[in-house]
Amino acid sequence: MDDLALAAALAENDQAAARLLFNRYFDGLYRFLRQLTRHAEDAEDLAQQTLIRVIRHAGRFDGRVALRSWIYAIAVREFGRWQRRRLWLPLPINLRARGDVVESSTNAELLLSALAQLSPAHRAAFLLHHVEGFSIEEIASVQHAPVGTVKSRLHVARGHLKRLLEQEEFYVTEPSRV
Amino acid sequence: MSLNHLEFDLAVQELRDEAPFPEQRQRGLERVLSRRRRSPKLPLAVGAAAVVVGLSLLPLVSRRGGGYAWAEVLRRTEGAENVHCVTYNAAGQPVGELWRSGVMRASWGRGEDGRIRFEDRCDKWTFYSFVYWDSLKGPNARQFAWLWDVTPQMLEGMKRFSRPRMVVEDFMNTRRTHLVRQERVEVDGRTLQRYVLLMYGKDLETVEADPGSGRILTIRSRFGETCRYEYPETVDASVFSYRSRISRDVIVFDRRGHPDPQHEPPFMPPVIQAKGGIQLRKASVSTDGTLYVYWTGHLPDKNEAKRLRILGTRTGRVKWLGYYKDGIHPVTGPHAKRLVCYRVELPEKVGDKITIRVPWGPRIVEFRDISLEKPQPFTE
Repeated sequence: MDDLALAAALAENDQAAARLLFNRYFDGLYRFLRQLTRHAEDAEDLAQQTLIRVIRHAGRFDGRVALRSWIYAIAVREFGRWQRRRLWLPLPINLRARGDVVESSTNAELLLSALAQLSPAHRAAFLLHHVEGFSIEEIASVQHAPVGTVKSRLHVARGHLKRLLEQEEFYVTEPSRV
Repeated sequence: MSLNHLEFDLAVQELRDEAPFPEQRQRGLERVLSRRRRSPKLPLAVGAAAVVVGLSLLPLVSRRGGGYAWAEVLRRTEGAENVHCVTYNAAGQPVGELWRSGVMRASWGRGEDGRIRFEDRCDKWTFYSFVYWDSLKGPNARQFAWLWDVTPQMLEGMKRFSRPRMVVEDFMNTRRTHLVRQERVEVDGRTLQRYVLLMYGKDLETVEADPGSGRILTIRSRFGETCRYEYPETVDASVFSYRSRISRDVIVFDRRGHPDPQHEPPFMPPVIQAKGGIQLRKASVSTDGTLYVYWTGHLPDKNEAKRLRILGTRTGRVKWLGYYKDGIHPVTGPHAKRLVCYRVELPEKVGDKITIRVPWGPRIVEFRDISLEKPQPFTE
């Protein structure tokens, strides 16, 4: 089923299409949002919310961009909402869920720690390109930014990592804010 | 642990291999199919503990409105139709005031010298604006204000910028604002919720709000300015009157119902008197206290200008003698090109009538007892 047909079926409230959508995109969305938020529960919640929004607004999808880009653009907006909401929720207890990495012990978590020092836009561009395999044009449509801006973001992210790699000692610290 | 031990490709591959746990997929699928988003389930014991801890900390932890649901805060805030905000400088002197009641809004601000410098009032339809000008000090000068029809563009701007910050959430609508911390404090025996916000990445602002209603009560900037908010039951209607509260003799130019100046025809007042080939069209005192006389027929040259006289009052320096130039739109057409403007300073209070002598060659064309147009006070 191609993008437009899937969107049309979703707009018709087709449960099979919703299941297909979930199977196609949930894992990737969860991965992207988990690495962006570094919080497993919130990533799960955001991925669910993204897909629910996709189903609710599937009738608006016009095929000008790939469905995947459209869905990830919604995910990025959900992430933005999460960031703003998070400022108002200073939880008294910080319960860590399964999937959260408390101690950065793997290469992947080291990389995420380094990326955490970048802005969310730079981080999202890096993750979309290197992990999710988006092209620069696709990232531009996800982030609603010019292609040049996306290239610049990727360049900055790579430069930042390169500088860290050149340092003798890089202390892994939790980001003060995501 | 050092990052220089990091193998980039391996790290990226690890990121690519990440996947949700089966129970996460199952939960996600159920919620997506049912279109109901819920927070992920916590293990029962942890969830119960969180509820107990959360309930015990409820009075200490604020969510947006100091413990109230956000919808409740909004409802209460919307109910507060009247807002009065006074801004004080670091020395504790009031430097600005804002009133709002429904769609009506009024404000004034004081300059560094302590003088009130501006006032404005508006509702959905009319915008009143007054700015105090130091230069308007002559014996005939008058401070002035404007009344405009509110255009859709102005309304849009007012919606964006005129909303007083009644709840902390309003601060979050500004770019790059972050909550640094919040705490419950006692001020003068009253319990308040205090928020410290970092705005634009550099300015710290402290906001104190009523924990019950969520309404902002004070805002303090790092420069020492403090805004104090009140929410009165009623507001005196005179607060929103289109009259200056600073100076009684402020002239109000009522531009309501006038077309856009860009689309008005070139300025050409009607003829008052015609004599000797000269048509006198207008004599007026402007708000800056200078006399303007307009006529058509002849522009005196340099020598003739020495014999141009205004009788009935003392005159000072001539500021302009030439064809009238309109700064808004190009003056076109033969009449507009021939309109002569004579502008002269008036060092003393002028009466209601003057006599004008316009030289033309050896002749003098005299216009006697010409009524002076003066800015008229505004009547609502």
